[in-house]
Amino acid sequence: MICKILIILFIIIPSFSAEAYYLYVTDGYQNRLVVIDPATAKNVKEIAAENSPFDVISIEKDGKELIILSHANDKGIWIIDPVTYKIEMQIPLPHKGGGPAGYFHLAYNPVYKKLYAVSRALKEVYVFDSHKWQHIKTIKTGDMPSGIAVSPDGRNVYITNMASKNITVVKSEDDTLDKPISFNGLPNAIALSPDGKYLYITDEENYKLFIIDSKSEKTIKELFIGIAPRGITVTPDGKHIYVSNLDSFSVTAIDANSMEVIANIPVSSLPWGISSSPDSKRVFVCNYYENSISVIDTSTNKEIERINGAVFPTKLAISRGK
Amino acid sequence: MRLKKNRCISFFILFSLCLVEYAQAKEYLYVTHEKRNIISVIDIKEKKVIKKIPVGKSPSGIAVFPEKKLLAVSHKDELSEFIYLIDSATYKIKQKTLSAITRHRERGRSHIQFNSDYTKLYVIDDENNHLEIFNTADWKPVKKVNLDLKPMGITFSPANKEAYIPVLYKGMIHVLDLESDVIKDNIVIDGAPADVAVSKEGKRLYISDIVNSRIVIMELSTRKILKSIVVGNRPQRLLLSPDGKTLYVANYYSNNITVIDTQRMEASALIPAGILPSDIALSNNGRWLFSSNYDESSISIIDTKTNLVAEKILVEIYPSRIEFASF
Repeated sequence: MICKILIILFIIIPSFSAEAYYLYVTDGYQNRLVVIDPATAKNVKEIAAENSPFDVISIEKDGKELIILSHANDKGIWIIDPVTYKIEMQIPLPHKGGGPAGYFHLAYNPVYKKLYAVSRALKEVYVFDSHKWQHIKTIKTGDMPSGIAVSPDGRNVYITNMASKNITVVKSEDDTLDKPISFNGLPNAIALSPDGKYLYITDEENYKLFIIDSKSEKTIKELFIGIAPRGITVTPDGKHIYVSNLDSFSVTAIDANSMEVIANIPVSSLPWGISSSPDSKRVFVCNYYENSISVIDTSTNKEIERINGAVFPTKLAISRGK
Repeated sequence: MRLKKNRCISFFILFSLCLVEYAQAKEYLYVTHEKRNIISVIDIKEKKVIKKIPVGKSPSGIAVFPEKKLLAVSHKDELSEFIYLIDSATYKIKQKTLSAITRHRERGRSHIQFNSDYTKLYVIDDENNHLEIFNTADWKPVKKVNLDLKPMGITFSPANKEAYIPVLYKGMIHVLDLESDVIKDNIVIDGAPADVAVSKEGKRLYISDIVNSRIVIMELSTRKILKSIVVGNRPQRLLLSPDGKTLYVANYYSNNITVIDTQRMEASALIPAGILPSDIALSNNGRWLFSSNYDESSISIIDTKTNLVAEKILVEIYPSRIEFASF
């Protein structure tokens, strides 16, 4: 009897863990969003975008996955259905004035069901209510906002201000500002540990990764990584942190437990956007100048494959397509 | 009156400065350009190339003999006379050493290095996998030692008792006994060693491993790995500061230099040196670090106090090896 259950479990478990997922990669050259199946390394779909797609994230809202895309200009934010590949909504940008808002970084808070879009040029964050994707608030950030992340409990939204050398803290419940966190460097890419205990922030000044306690806001560890660290991802199991170093052509792997650099993974020209697979087994990184995606095996920390399909890829999101 | 006196003083200061200037040794950098068949000579103070010396075919290795004011350069001509000895003052080729081994030299490189007391010149052929030793008194070949696949260079221990030859494709380091010039031992590492540095007291070995992007710090007496430090892509060249406290690692495919504090055995800085830093050199006092940036046609001058690139000197295309000298 036990044997039978075990056998059944063995059959079920692999089929669960081998759940398919897809890469949504921004192609800045041909202005499209490319959907790649990493299992076959083939393009499944190419979605035409407006001029210069920039940031892309995948979110889960009411049990359904959605893809959110921003552009490097004023072309608004798009909500895309990963099953039908239809553009469900084009949210107009609320900013005033004629100047371009440019380079919108995106983050979604699943607890309060809000979308945050940061404009680097206008130094503002736009808050949208995901119910009808309506603009509900505009918040001022510091100078040169460059990265955004939401705490897993949904309480805080963190925005790195590279020129002001600090981190804006937004209380997501009512979207009011908390005291900013000062930073000893030029803060850029940001992520949080899945338990919310640590903030991981890259520094463009001395090429470091800062590990900061989110409660005390004190720096616990500073690690040298590579030149121009632009992208960061934490595997969903919380075990590893991966940073893409744009000008060093490499990805640095950090053990989240010991807080040590455990590997340098050579990739290709100008690695930028980086994302972890839902099962934590793979990390994907966009090689902007080689028009490729490097696939990293997180058990060996080696590059195992390179996928072509997008031209000048900047960012990528991973969705199960449900 | 006071003005005159001041002028007098300032003139005197200027004059004495000039004297000091005159007495001071001049500092140079020598850079090989394999694809241009030349060596660039850089006057460090002037920050410019003052001479381009034509040298045979694809000069690859370079070493300086300060006392004799000579520059030894290896190149790829098919002749046996593949090492030229160049007068550092006149830039003329003084002598062409005759190797005992004749071969086709189209491929591969010769890494050359003088031993600590400049009695011998060690020439490593990374394609034919051997070491040839020349006597510097008459520049005649005295010995040939067979090596394993792809030897990358040679580093001498401070006591001049041993030398270490990293063998890239075999994942090991030959230990050469300098009294007999015989390989007495091999140090095996899990990786591909490209370069080796020895600590000041000769107790530790710093090994760059290009397949695992790391520096291995090994205790020589026990062969124990003390620490493995992750650096950048293809850490090709290593250099230890004269005080032994700082190790510089040129990460060729990461376009940067990792600075390692050898006491703490940790990275202490990262320097975006230039595109493809193929080689590094230090000034005598360790005050300045130089990198030849292969794909940038430049030499970076790095301030070792701030670990910042202070200046870049433009040179001929594809600079590879670089040597510092003061005469």
